[in-house]
Amino acid sequence: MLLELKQVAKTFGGIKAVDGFDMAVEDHEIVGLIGPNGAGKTTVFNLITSVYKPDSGSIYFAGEPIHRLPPHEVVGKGIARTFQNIRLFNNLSVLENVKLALHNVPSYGFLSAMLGLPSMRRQNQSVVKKAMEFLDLMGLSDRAEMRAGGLPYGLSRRLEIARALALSPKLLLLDEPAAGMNPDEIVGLRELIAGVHRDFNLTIILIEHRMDLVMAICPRLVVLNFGTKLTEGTQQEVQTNPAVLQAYLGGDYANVAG
Amino acid sequence: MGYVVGVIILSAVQAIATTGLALFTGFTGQFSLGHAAFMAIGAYTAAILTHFYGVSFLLAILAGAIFAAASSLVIGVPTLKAKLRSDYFAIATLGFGEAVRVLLENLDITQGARGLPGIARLTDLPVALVALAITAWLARDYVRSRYGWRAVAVREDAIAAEMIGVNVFRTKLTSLACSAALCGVAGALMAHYLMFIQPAMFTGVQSTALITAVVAGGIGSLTGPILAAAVFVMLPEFLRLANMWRLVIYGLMLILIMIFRPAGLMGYREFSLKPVLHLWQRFSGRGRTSAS
Repeated sequence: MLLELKQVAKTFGGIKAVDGFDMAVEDHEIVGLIGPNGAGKTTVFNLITSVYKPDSGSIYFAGEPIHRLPPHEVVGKGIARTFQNIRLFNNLSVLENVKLALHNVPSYGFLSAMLGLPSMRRQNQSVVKKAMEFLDLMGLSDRAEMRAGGLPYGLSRRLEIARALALSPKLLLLDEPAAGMNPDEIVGLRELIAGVHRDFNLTIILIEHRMDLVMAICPRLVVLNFGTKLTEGTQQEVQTNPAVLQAYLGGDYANVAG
Repeated sequence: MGYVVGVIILSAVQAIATTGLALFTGFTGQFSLGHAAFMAIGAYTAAILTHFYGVSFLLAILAGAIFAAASSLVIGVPTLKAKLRSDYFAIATLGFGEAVRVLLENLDITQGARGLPGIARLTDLPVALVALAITAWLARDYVRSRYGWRAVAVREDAIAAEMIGVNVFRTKLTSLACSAALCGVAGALMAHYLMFIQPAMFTGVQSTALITAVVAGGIGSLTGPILAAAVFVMLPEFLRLANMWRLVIYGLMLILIMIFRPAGLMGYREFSLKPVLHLWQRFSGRGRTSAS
């Protein structure tokens, strides 16, 4: 078990954003986290990455409790994410966005950095080279010097994934990567996600509203509604679950079906 | 001649302090309205050491830097730990600056509001310029190192920075301590040039002058703030001919910079001779072709 959430709850004011939520993710799985708008999906990501601390419950990553760690330490354990509303370093170049994510790779200390020793320059150069490899992989290398804020929408999504991969995570959390993409771009994204899942030996949790993408790459789904788990299971099980249909299509559906 | 040299020395001193603040504001994205306090701490520490204890100048400067950096933790740890948002943090630093000034006015060793006269003049033109060169060199290394990368990540987007594993608190604190140390060096140099310091020299006016130079010089730039600091010290001096209009011109210049270069004169860039050389080569190249 790579990731395990046990009875996790988080309230904002009087609203139970997530309540008594259990979820377990096996190594190398791709799990789809779906549910209507406002169901608490992004809150779950924020709880896993410690952006929010859970009010109760616990979160284990590779057997270790992580829900009390500060966010940067959670990331250090091997969890990387992308954001629903893209958060790139817009004023910096595409290359610098990935380079900054590699800040823990060099081994030089503060003193040798301040003295500008050759070892710092050498290590910085190898970081730039490594960053370029990630850009290559995402098909962004010809735009390396471009301002990240000026990238077209689809490419900024790719850059965010490149930046997350640069952290060499074990678990990758993708928050609506297909939002705003056209069908062609989604096909490209599907191949990209499947590719990195295979090549980087990743475990992936995917939040997505585009069911064509979810059904194409996620063998197992977890459905959230009003902060609680509605159901989980294979695509088949979820698609035929009346509670899911009701949550997505409204109460009348149950009547029509019945 | 002595007057011109004096203006250059004070420009260099101001440029050192501005470089310090540029690390914190221009590269880490935190506004401070109290950095004059770190200059004051550096100035008093160094002056007291050379004046009363006969410590060597170099050691006194280092002590001023270390003391300023240590005192920055006093304001930095509680405010940054509490994650004060930028404007609240700026107000906290404003309060810190005033608190330090009041403290200096009431301590015995600083001789209160009367100030500390008779400090040896140990800062001359070479010392000031060498100190500025070392400062610029250290600051450049800082910015180019992974410590600088982390600072820039925090400036651009603190949440995204956390999500690439940056310890935001520690990064801000490191930047603050480095910037305070450089301001401390500037204060030490200033004290040993003017030969007299008093708390009234380190008020909000001086803090504002520093932040003005950083913002007008350009966020995310080192050379921009250095140039701006030098210009802002020199300009009012040369404008003395224009008498009462000089402050108007100074203000007008700031407004024009903010209108036409909102990111500062050198925002996100460094001053380089390359474009100038390039232009010159093009012109001289064209001159040759027309001659042949």
